[in-house]
Order: sequence, then C-alpha cells, then structure tokens
Amino acid sequence: MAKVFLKFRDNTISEATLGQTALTVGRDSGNDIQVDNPAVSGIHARIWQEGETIFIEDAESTNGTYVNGEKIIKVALNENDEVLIGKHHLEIKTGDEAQKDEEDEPLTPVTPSLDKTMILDSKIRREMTSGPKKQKGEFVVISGSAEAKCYELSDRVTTIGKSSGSLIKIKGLFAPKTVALINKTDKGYTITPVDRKTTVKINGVPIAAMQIMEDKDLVEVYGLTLQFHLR
Amino acid sequence: MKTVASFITDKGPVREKNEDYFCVDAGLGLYAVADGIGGHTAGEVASRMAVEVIKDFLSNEEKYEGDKAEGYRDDYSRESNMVAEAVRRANTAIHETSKNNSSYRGMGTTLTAALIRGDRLSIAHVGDSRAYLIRTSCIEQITNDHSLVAEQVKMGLISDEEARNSKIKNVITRSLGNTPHVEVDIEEFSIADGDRIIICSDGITSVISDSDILSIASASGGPADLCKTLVKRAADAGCTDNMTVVALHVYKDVLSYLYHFTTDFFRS
Repeated sequence: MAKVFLKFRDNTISEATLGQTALTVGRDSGNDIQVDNPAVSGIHARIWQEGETIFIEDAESTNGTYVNGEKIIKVALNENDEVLIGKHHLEIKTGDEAQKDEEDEPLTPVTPSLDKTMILDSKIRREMTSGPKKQKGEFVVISGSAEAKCYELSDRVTTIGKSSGSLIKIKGLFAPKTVALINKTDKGYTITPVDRKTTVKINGVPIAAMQIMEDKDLVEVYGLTLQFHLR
Repeated sequence: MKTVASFITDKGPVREKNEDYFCVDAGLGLYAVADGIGGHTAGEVASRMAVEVIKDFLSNEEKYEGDKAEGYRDDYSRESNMVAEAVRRANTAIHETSKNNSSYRGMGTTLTAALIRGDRLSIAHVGDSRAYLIRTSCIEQITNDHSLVAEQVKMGLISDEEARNSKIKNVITRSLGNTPHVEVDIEEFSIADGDRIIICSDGITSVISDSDILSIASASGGPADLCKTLVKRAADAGCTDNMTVVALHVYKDVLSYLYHFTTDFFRS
C-alpha cells in the first residue's frame, strides 16, 4: 500500500494511505491531509492511485502545487519527486518502503529525561547559544515578470521596489520606489514593508511591520510572487 | 553618490571624560565611531588609537595586498576586506600597547567603521556601537550587537524591550584590543539616493528606541540637526554615558542634494 507523508522541513506531520478514491490536501479540516498554513487553499490538491501510477492534481489553488519546482495542473508522480504545497512537502512511499519504515520505527521514543541534571556538551552549547547556522537566503521567482529567476540575498540590506538601486525590480506606473527592505540580521532575514498601503503579503497574509522570514515563505508584492529559501 | 555628513560627541551629564572617538573623512569615504573601555586614560587611548590606525591604513590604500592578504574573504568585496583588515590592525596595535604599558592594561574599544566607495557601503564592526540605515520610511539596524543581551535576545530568552532595560546591557562579548586576534563582522550593500546612515555609541541607543530614532530623523533638517536632536533627546532621557553620533545623507547628484537641502531647511 502506498502512503503519503506530509512533511514540514524534516518532520513528518501526518500520513495517509493512498487508494483509488482521491485524497484531498488543503487547509480546511475536512481534508484527508490537512495543512495548517495560510498559504494553502481550502482544498489545494488531490492525490490518488490508478493501478501502479500515482497522480496529483492541483485543485485550482491560489498559490499552486509544485512538483520538482514546476507548477503543475495534473501529473503522474515518480518516486522521489518533490511535491511542494505552500511551505510543506508531500512525500510518497510505495508499498515496500512504507512497510519497511513502519518496522524501523522504535517502539518507545527515546527522549532524555529533563529531571536529571545534565552536562551540556560544549559543542551543543555553542550551537544552542550561537543560534541558527549562518545560512544564505535567496528569492526564487514563482510567478510574475522579473528580471531574474532567482535573487541571492548576499547584501546586508536589499530593496524591493521601482528605484534603480533595487535588486528586485517592480514594474508598473504607480509602483513605489521602495516597497520593502530585506535585512540579513543575526536573527535571520527580516522583511519590512515601507508602508501599510503597499500590500506586502507573506503566505497570503498582508504584513504591516517587520517580520522574520522563514524557509519556503511566499512573498507577494505588486504581482510578483517570490519564494524565500534558506540554504 | 554624494554625501553630506555631520557629527556630535558629548561626554554626557555624568561622566568626567569622553572616551568616545569618531571619524568623518569625506576624502577617504570613512565614517567611524569608537567607544573606549578601561580605567584612567586607557579608554580614551584605545578609541583614539582604533580610529587613527584605520584612517592611516586606508590613507595608504595602494599598499593593501587585496586577495593576497591574510584573512581575505572572497564572499566580500575588496573594499570590505580592506576596512576589515584595517580594524584587525587596530586590534593588534591596541593589544600590543596594552601589553607593554601597565597603565593601559586591559584597555579596549568598540569600533564601527563605514567606508563608502561609489554606490557601495562597507561596514566593519566589533562591539555594540551601532549603524543604522534609514531608507524611505524604514529603519534597519545594519550591525549585529556583540553584547550579552543581544545573545539573550537571539536565544529567545528576553525581548528587545527587556534588553533595553537590562542591568547587564553594558556587557559586550567582543572588543578591539583585549585579545591578540579579533573576529570582525563585515556588512555591505548598495546605497541609494535619499539614504541616511547613522553610526552611534551605545549612549544613544541604550535610551532611544529604533522607532524613535526613525521619527527624529524623519523630522530633522539635515545631518547636523539630526545629530543635535539625537544627543539632546538621549540626555533628556537620562543617558549617563558618553554620546557620539555620526550622521550622513546620501544624494545621487547635486540636484537631488539641492532638493533635499531645501525641504530639510523648511522642515527645521
């Protein structure tokens, strides 16, 4: 029996068994696979099995369904295909693999007891206190007209706007010179909208003040949809 | 790009000495603030040495070996590497002096230096003297504080607000002169017409929030007025430390400068 796993970063959030009847993926609670994220539509996609082949179909979602980085309407899935819905991934495992995974799972989860005094390994301590490792951020253009497919955010401050100094240029007669600033801080990449009128949306939600961006966040500005990646 | 800069340094209402030091040098494109640490005259010596060594190094730019120099980082520009190297040299100079002279033992300083070349700005930074960029109506801190409270905020232990009111906010985790080698943070980005850059010692930022700095800057008439207002507001807010502000405005050409000068004049 093939299974679908809903994953966020490396964590499995839920799983469902595939069959001839299509499983629905979406934000609403009635879905077989519920994805709790504003970037995900009420019913976002459908996934089912016909014989040996597994199909996925986008349910006319707002932000689209992506397979290996390409926006899809309906495709047959191959093993190890990367399915992206909002910030979440779907992983498909065919019968044998799915079975094996279950067997591998330990019966009792091993979690250290917190009652006991612990000595914190100095390496772990350094990792804990130094915060996330220094990662480079980039924007991948998902939709809209832009000058590049991908923008590397290597400068301390990057501008999105119409002005000539902007890395990410916005077109349009009434587009402002500066729409938002991206700041590469030690707490992560932040995005600050210039004012409340120029709607900058993150995962479908308009933002009014500075916000820290997370991996796979979708940023919408003036007809441009960008996905933020940390690597 | 054209820049118009101004500065103020003030020992504040409580301290007897001013251990801050700064540099505004349009010829070199160098703008810096240093906040000295150490007893007697040591703090003053450390901050002054830091700025003078950096100025001297950048004045002899042709001697810089570029990518052949030790510690050169390919992911940053030559200019950024050069100013970082200048800061490392300042560290060595201060450290050697403090080692060899008992009255200067343990002296150190923070250092935030900005170098403008063309439309690129490079920052080399150690300690908790901050640099800010004000663009359109946004303020962005463009240096990461090397302080204990900043680490606590990063770890999620305390909020920004709690950090500003913390009793240990003066504890810094990195400084120039206290160790033989120092890790220098590098930041770089493109400047744009109308940008304002502010570099200041913690005397200012320990009592004035980022959003207040933004509103003071927005209401100010030019860099000189901005420096004056910031120092006055910090003193009124009960600052007990030395206060230093270096402020610069960036214009793409003379026309843009005249336009901003006129509007700033009528605002003040």
